[in-house]
Amino acid sequence: MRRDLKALAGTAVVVTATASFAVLAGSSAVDARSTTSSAYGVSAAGGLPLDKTPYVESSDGSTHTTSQVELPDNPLLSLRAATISAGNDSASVQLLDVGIGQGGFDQLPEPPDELKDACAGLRDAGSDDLPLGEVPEIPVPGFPSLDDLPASDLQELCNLLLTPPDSVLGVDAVHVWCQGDTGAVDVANLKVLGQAVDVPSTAPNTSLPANPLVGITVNKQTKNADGSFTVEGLVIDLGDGSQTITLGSATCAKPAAKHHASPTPTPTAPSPTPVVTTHPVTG
Amino acid sequence: MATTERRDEGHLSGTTIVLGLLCAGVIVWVLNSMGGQASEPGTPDLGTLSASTTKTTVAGAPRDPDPGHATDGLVVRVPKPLALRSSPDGPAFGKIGPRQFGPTWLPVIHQVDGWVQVLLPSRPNGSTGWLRSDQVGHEVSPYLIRVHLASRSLELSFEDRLTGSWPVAVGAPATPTPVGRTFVLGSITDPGQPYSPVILPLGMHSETLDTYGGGPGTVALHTWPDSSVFGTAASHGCVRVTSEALDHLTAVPLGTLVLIDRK
Repeated sequence: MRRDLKALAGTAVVVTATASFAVLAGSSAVDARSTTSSAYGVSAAGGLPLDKTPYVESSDGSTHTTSQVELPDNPLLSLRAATISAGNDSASVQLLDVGIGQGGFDQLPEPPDELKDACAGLRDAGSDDLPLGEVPEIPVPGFPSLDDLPASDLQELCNLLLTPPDSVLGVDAVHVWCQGDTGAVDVANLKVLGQAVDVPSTAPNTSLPANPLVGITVNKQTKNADGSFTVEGLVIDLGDGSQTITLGSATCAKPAAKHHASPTPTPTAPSPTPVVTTHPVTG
Repeated sequence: MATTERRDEGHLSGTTIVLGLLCAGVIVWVLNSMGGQASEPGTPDLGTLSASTTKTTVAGAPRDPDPGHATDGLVVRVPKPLALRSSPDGPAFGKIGPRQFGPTWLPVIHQVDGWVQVLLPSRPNGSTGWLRSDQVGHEVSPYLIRVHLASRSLELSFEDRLTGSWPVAVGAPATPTPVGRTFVLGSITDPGQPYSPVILPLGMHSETLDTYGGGPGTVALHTWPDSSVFGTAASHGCVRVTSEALDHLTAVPLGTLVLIDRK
């Protein structure tokens, strides 16, 4: 775990998760459409692989649901609960309290004393007072350089450096669903390195701006060669592809032939996860 | 300024790791500073339309034609910014985004071929708009919340069966709770309003207060520390509920219909 985290943290190359809406199926694929819908909670590929867990599928048009509390013991992923469902032409996933790399930062070396001292003395000073040497340019158009940051923001960064978070990434809730060839994603309270990250859009194939540690694609949507349609909630790329993690995946098949007249019931909307915010109401 | 330590063979220095963290922190900071500003690309025609939120007033919205009537529970999830139309395939008067306090879920009050009419979170109360049915996600809330102002009570139903009824505090005579059909807009925890562990803002506003406490006068369901208020008309428009009621109400999906009447 230590080796992997160090390698990730030192990655200078910006990870840009580029997701495309890949239409892999040609017109001939119509003849080979899948009738199996499926869904799973989490999976990982790379140095620390994890099979699709929990996983459920439906190939007979009926709805199959499973739930799981916690994951098998592993150093990469944790969650509090997962509820997975797959039916005729629908599938959904709800995950609660997901964490990636929890506890990993405990094994990192102590920050240098000179950085501790500079952060401790940071008041109204600018970035020149931080012993950082040559700071890599942030390769995102329009983003400010460290030199442009006011002292108050540098203080925030010092807090981050000197009090490392307990996980690389955490999210309170992820809800992924598809119905036929449409689908969407809800993400509640995403945190990277302990810092809350607003997800400005959950539009299909939204890539959050590049980050040296984590590339994140929200609501990755793919039309598969067999005619099925997949929505993935969060696809996380750690270390330039050396470790990828998928949180929530729902695949909807072409509706199975309806031997019975009963229509597919409309799914039930999820219970909300409270969002921490300030909004005075009329009391 | 000290010189950055260089990488040893097969080993990264502590400073290099810290630099990685630093860059990540900067980008998190920038992401936060950008929060709420991004919009769905490829929809430039939406740029000039007013967004319907609890903080806005959107002119031209059709009024709720039947504000006392329950629905079949259909709610729709807005996955991206969408134009709000005054009638099926009619002119756009505003837009609705994918997030309010959390994801945007709206109750459907009427359906016509390929279109759904939904309640909106913006002022004035009773605002509605039409959305293309194939652009939203369809789910069902099995719950219905009824608030009776005269009897100062709240009823919660699940699949048309009454599951609970509790005394509540409603708006005082000078700041009454509005009457009509609205919905659960969000579920929030607000450190600045510690009287309730969870607050459920509704898609409705005070008719007598344009603002309250710095907010836009959003009416909400929440608990209250002084139990003597329950059964009285004492609030500034919100509906104060018991802790037991809130425990049930926090399970209710966003978009769930709330009917407030004078009974």
